[in-house]
Amino acid sequence: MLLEELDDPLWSELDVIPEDEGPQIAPIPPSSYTLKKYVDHSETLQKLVMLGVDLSKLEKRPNVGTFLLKLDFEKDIQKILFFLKDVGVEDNQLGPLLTKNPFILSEDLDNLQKRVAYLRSRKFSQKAIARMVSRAPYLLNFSVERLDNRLGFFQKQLGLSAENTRDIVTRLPRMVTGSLEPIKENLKVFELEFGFRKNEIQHLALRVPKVLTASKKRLTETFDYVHNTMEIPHNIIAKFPQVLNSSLLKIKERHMFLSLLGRAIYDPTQPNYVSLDKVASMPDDIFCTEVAKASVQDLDEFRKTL
Amino acid sequence: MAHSASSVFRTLHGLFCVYKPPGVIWNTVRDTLEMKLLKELNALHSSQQKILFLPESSEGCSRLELTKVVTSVPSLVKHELVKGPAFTFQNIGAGHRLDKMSSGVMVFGLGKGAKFLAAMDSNHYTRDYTVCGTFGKATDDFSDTGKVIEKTTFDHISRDKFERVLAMIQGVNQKSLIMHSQVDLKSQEAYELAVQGQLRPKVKSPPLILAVHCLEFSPPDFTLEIRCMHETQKYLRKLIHEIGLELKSTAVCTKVRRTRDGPFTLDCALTRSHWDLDSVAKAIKECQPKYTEILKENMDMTRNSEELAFGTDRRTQLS
Repeated sequence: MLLEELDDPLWSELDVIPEDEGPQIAPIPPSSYTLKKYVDHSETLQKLVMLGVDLSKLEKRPNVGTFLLKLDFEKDIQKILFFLKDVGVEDNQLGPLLTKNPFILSEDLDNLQKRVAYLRSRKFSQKAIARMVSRAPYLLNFSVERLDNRLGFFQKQLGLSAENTRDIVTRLPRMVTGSLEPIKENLKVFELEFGFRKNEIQHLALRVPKVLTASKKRLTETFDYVHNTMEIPHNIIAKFPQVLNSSLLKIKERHMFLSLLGRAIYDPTQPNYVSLDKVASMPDDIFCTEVAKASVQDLDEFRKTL
Repeated sequence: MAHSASSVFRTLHGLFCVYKPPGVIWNTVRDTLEMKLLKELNALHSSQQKILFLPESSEGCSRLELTKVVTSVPSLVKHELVKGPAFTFQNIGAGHRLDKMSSGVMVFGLGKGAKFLAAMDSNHYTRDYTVCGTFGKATDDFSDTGKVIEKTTFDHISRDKFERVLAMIQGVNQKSLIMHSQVDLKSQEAYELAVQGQLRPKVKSPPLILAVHCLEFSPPDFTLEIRCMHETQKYLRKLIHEIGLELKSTAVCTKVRRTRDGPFTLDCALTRSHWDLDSVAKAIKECQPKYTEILKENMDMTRNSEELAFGTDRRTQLS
């Protein structure tokens, strides 16, 4: 019975099946939790991946997946990409930038141009703008008034000249797009809690802008150790602000190692003086040979006695 | 490195130990280890190529021929940027914990090696600590960073008196050690265990101090070496506090440092700069004899306890 059915002359495996009736290899799902299933069907997504956009990170954010799928590469994305290239963003920076801020694709091109023109009018150089846009992807999503406010904030709070404000903002553009509250708080901490003078704070911020955005707790712990245990006065800390920015564990370890060797001399007037930034920022091997005059194994052994 | 990421990942099973720096929570150490291992594994992992059969036209002698040719095409579905990182999770279990302010040897189990941790726990190993203290003040949490609640003099404390208190502590603990060991002290078995220095409880017990001696005594500072089991770091700090009270003074603990946890010693501990894939893989290989020993001992112990249970059963039947 079954065999007869198979042999039915109406149905033969040699028959040609029309193109539209044939089985589709991978149907596109109407809804999905990931963008994975759409990648091989959507040209936009493919091109974004080729640019270096990390879809696996983007799909975790709410609404971004749908937003990207609705875009058309030729119509929506290309113009923004050309614009960003004009601003001076490097090719390999485009992917990471769009990964951080896909919403720049929905911005109006005129607005973006206005914002860049504003930055130019504030005498930021072409290179500086390119650096700022790639380092702080959300910068161009801010309206001109908001940008102006924020630049004004840094100039006023720190009492800097226009030149220095430009310098500090170019070096850490993340400050402009991030929240300003922690920065205000850190400035107060520097002034009231640590007891730095106004010009010392200015100097700190100019040398290492990152201390302004660092966590208050970490700053306090590090300052407490450097000032109270290592007994380093304010003016020397202000000279080497890198020390506030490095890991407390590392500073502790190195200070104890140096004091064991009798080399913990941080006073510049004394012989065998060790500068603080060497303690703070040198890699282990160079620190051992140049500052501690010991081998890396010695430091390792010492770590096991802490 | 010639190995592929997945083959390296597959070999990452076993126990190893690290040196936990003071002032870091053990969980942070675990997370740092996991993050570093995953980062290196993902860097090893390269994007894969998919093999497809694509139609390709080739000019025949007279007409256009359509043939299928094997071509390698990068598949975007498996692309790193679409799929996300290949390794997102590494099972790391922690052995006996160290609290934030203490430092020293801490055992971690990687992958399937985590099951050895349970065996290690049921073996009831002894641990060695180096504990530093200072006379003269007492704090609310027994450490030197706590709130000071009392200040005292300590001129009257001599090394002699100090050693006498230590001997007393050891004596008291020796008694409870024998009590919790649950062996008949008059038996041959107990004698043999005691000769080997293996006499210790094989069941849960309150914190016990097996040996304590003074490494350094220069008032107000002193350093003790303590061998103990079932302890917590807080218990050791409290011990320092009690030594202070016993000497009619007060003392705080400045440092708790573990130098041995069961078979794991300082020599094989990885310091902070060596928390990477190569060193961890090497440490696991080097520690292999240690955890086979742990397993062997564990099997011996379960056999012994079964015999013991059987023996007690018979005794109850008889009586």
